[in-house]
Amino acid sequence: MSVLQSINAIIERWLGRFLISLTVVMIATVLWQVLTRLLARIAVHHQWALQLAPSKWTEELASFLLAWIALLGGSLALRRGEHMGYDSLYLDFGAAGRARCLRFVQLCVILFGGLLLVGGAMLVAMTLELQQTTPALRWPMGLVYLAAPFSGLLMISFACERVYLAESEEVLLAHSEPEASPSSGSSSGVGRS
Amino acid sequence: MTLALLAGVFTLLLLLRIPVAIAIGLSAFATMLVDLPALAAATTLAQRSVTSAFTFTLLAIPLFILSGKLLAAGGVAQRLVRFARAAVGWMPGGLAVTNVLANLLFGSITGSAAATTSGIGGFMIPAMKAEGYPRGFAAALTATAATTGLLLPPSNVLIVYAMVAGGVSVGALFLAGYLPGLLLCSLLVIVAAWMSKAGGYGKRDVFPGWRVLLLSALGILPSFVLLMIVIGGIVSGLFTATEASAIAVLYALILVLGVYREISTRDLPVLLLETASTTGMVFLLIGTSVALAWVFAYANVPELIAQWVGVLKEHPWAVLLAINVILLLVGTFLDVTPGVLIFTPIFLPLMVGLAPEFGLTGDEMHYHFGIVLVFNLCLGLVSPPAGTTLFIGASIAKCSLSELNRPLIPIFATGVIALLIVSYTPSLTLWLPRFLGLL
Repeated sequence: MSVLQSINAIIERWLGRFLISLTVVMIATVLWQVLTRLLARIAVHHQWALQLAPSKWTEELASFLLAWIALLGGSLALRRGEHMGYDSLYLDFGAAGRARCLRFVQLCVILFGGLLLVGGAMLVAMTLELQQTTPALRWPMGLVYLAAPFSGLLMISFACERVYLAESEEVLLAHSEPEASPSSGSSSGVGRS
Repeated sequence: MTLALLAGVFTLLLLLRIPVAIAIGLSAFATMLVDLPALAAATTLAQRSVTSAFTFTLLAIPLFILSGKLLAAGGVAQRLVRFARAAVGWMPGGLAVTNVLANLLFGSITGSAAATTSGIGGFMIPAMKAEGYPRGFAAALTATAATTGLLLPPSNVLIVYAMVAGGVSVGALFLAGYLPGLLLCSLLVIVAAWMSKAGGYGKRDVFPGWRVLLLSALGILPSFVLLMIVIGGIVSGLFTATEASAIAVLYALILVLGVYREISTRDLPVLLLETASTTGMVFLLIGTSVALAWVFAYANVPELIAQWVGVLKEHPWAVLLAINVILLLVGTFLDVTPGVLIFTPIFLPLMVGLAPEFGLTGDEMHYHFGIVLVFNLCLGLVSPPAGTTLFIGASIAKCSLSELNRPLIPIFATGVIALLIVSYTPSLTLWLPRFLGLL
């Protein structure tokens, strides 16, 4: 168990660095596009003799980066508990029931990650075999789709850890949001899970 | 049959505290299994998740998220609060009215209801409590006023709608959101002042004088220059929404690091990582919702619903009312972005067919319905008994949701009145884009 915990901690650290770099490159790419488009406009306006076509590859590179940021960021958001979930029934359970519930949540995440992993791997294999490429950069579409199985794998790895830690997570949650928990009479709420 | 299965699985998963995006994804998968082999269903789910992010138009979303986070961390919120207090704090229910105005301003800059609730609520809710406003009232008002940011441009939800509706100009759609957003805010100001007066809450400030007002206005001027560049650029066609969002990031960086200087470059990695994580959350919702919308289309749900509601075709106003009621109910459980992705393909064709009955062209109906849809789903964020921004408001105010629900009722009712006015007055949504010649 502690092996998985330390592996996940390392993954999370590197995932963070990777995502930050991807985001920086993505912003730079879009800014580059704005700059070249403006220059192209000015060039046309002043009838300069240089050919400045607004580049198509920036759009594609930026979209490519977005696909990876979105999928990997999704697994990070699950890890950091940023996805919204409803608390209503959960809060009516006893401590043991809540721990079971949290375990079930993580099993669902594992199932979803599994679907991304298997479905994504199929897509990668199919598009590689058909030699499908992106329109502008001529990169294999498999590189874009690779984000899905990768993200699925991370979700599974992160969720496995929390399946084992469900009891201690229940205790943690019970202490972290006491004021916001509605009284049992009209219990209904939205919590971060 | 398919629908019943879907609704059952989805409700069960939601009640068991499953993250909404996962619940949507798994119920879409379960419904696909009715007609497809498991492998094909998994492939479809993965494909929608990737392709919905591999889209240049949606690049505006992470970039507006980042510029919003930069401005929020960089000290814009307290400057907006200072200005709002100087401008309207002397009115009855001074701080309550200040709260609405500050939420409006901050919401239009950040375009996120959740960020606005925590950004403005973090200042306003404690301040209101200190002046004797009940904490439930402060939280309910903040949560409701914060949703106006989704109607006022730049708004990521409107960008998503423009993509799924097809052939909609983001610039014109942005403009269409202004008057409905301002209407909601004006009505909220009235109800906030009235409730404070009736309840004897708080006190009125003395008007601080024009000098103070002008100085505080100078403090927020740079944020509004940013808005003018972004909206002006998109509306005039100088750049696309995505390019405008990149410019917004650049401008926010310079403003926050160079002018306000409340954060330094050392804080940037944290903000970038938060941006990536929030982006991942939003796109997981988008990807799974697109998969669910695909299942709906596959099961002919749009035609089915068109038939049901078609019974009312003789009374177009009743069709619109029925759509509003359905959306309000669903919006309680469904976030705004999935709501837009799932319900646009179902209701938009129906409304476009009825456009002549409302004196509109089909094209104009695309814009009007988009605003009605987003407005409606925004109210879903605060509809009692549960909602995303309500929860954030309650946790800042440190009050229970049941404590918040009583003052919420008149505030929410005001929102519904504003929604009905907007729904049945297309000239309100369409006036500004028409005036500027975009429609």
